[in-house]
Amino acid sequence: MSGGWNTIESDAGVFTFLIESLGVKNVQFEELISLDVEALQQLNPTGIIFLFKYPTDEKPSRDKPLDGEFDYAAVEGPHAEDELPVWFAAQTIQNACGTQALLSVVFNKDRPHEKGQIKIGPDLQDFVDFTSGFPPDIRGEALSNSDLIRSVHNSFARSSPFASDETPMATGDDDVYHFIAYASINSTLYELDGLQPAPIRHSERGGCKSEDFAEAVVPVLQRRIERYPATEIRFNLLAMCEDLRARARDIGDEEMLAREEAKRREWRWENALRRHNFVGFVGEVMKGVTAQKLKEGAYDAWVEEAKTATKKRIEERQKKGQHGGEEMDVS
Amino acid sequence: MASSPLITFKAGKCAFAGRKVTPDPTPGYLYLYSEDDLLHLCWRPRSAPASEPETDLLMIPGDGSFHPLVKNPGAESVESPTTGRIFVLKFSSSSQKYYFWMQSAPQHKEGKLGWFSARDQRIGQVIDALLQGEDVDVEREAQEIREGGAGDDDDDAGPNGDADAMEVDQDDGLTRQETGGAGQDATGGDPREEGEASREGGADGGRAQDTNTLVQNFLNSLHSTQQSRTSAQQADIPFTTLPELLTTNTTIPFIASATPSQIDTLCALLPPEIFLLAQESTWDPSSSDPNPSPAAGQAAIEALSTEQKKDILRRALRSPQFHQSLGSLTVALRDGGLPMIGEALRLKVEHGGVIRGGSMPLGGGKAVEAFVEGVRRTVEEEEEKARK
Repeated sequence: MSGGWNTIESDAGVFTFLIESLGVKNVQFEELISLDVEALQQLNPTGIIFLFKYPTDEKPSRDKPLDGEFDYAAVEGPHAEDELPVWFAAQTIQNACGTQALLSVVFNKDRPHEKGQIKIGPDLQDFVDFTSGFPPDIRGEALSNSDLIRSVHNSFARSSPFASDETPMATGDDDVYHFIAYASINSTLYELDGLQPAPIRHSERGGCKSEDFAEAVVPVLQRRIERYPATEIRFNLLAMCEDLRARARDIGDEEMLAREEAKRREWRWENALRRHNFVGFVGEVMKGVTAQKLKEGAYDAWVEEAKTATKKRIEERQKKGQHGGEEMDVS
Repeated sequence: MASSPLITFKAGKCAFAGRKVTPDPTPGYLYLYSEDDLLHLCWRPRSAPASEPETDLLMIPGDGSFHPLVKNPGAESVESPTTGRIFVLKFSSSSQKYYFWMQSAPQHKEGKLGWFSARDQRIGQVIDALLQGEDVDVEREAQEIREGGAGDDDDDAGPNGDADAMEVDQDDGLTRQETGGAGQDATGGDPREEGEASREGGADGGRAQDTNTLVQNFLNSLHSTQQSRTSAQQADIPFTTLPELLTTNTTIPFIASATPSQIDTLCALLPPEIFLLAQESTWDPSSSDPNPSPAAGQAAIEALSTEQKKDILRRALRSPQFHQSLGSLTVALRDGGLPMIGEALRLKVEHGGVIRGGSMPLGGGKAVEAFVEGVRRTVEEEEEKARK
């Protein structure tokens, strides 16, 4: 059961607008094409969201993670003077995990001692206050029950439950997609995965200040990616950073500002289409195309060509050994 | 199983995002019931059975409070700062809040929609008292509320008299098309979706809007159900899919040869924001409003040349979002959505999209085939009419 949460795309534009709609200011997401330390350092990221295909046969290990150490004390204490407990929530709803990963970075970085402090806004602050005394599993419940967070999340949902094969979110296979977050919290490198029992520490305590984050996280991500067979690589990396338009203005880089504004326009375009109910438009296009084909005497040929393409696609699927017979993938 | 409710009144729920409370138009009931000495506060849509509340809150005596949301606390007149009567449920144990709006007919003589009559207030007071754990003779209170309550100056109450608020509809035959009679107008917040308001005005516009929403709801319902496989009740054919019919090789040339009137019709079926974005200059990037009014959208479309509009249409036709919608619409057709989609688009689908001799919708490839045929038939008929 989706529990009332729909799937959202792992897309920099979606995540940026989602976090803004929740009231967070001055945050942006950028897709990482490569794991290049210098490029990442340029971005000065606050956190990284890693999306990957979660192998259903890899059980979350209770004793020791495959890399790093479970750090229960980071959540439960004791804590040093200038530290706050790591904000960590168990994941209860599969479809919520993208938003949950985002929020786990944001809630950990909205603190006075964390550089580049994010401002989460009053509504999320209410949520943080409300859940401050809760253990991780109850926090996870509270998150999945939050009307505000769920409704904003769902407003970015895609209208199709069946995605095309090009996007990392292709469904139709049995594996599930999972989001985890990495950040420097209390000057320590943590991996936050709602399916694990605790935050996973990848550096010495105090051994990874915010400015070291980019350099420290790259080898950790590389090791993570190497866990999966090369042919199965389907992952996506999004870096969370400050609003790059603000940075461009600060340093007076007109070109960068123009680029970033253009990017935002793209995102708004995509978002407008994403939320749009295309039924009427499709109907009109069908009618227009049909009328044109009839006029040209090309109608039958047009339909036949489409049928042939369908047949070919089904045959190729069957050869690959994927769903035989009944064809539901419409990409 | 819930025992019989202590008190029930017609109410809708509200969402709140940011500081804004938005009423949900779904007609519903707010009610309290007691089970094993524990008090529950529930909300359900009127069309749902009493045993299945959508919201069921366990109320610890003294923890919850239930009061009207008022703009002038302490004033004589109890009034919400909105176009509806809003109650707020608060807890002393947490900062969580719930907002509900009264769906009974408003009783103010001059039509002030946020004004709570004595009867309305009484309902809130009874509920609050129950939440405090006080001993309330609910039956007597309810009786008094129904009879107009003491000190209620209004002689002419709503069409059903004062029973309106607390009357439990026996016949819950609300079809999905009812978007909530008086309720929808009675509160603030516009539940219409963006881009659809431009169709309003004239009976046809209104009707298309409802069915478009229905189709979208149907598509959304496919999320939460498991991926349904069409059962082999009818020998199925693969036929084809909308993404394979409406490839860019087909749609882009169509735009090239489309008439200006067709172009305008197509533009009106896209979200207005993209036209405003097209106008946005590089040097004044934040000029456009993320939620443009339909009038602003219309103005933007009108300001563009035919060539510019075609550009935008081509971009939309190449977009992954459009491609995805073709996929999901195909799934909807295959899964029994043909009759509804056919009606939404006013297509001449054979037998209205059901299996001949019955009422079961066509499914699988046959449904897609019937859809395509329906489009063809509709187009041919329209051409006939145009010739006459």
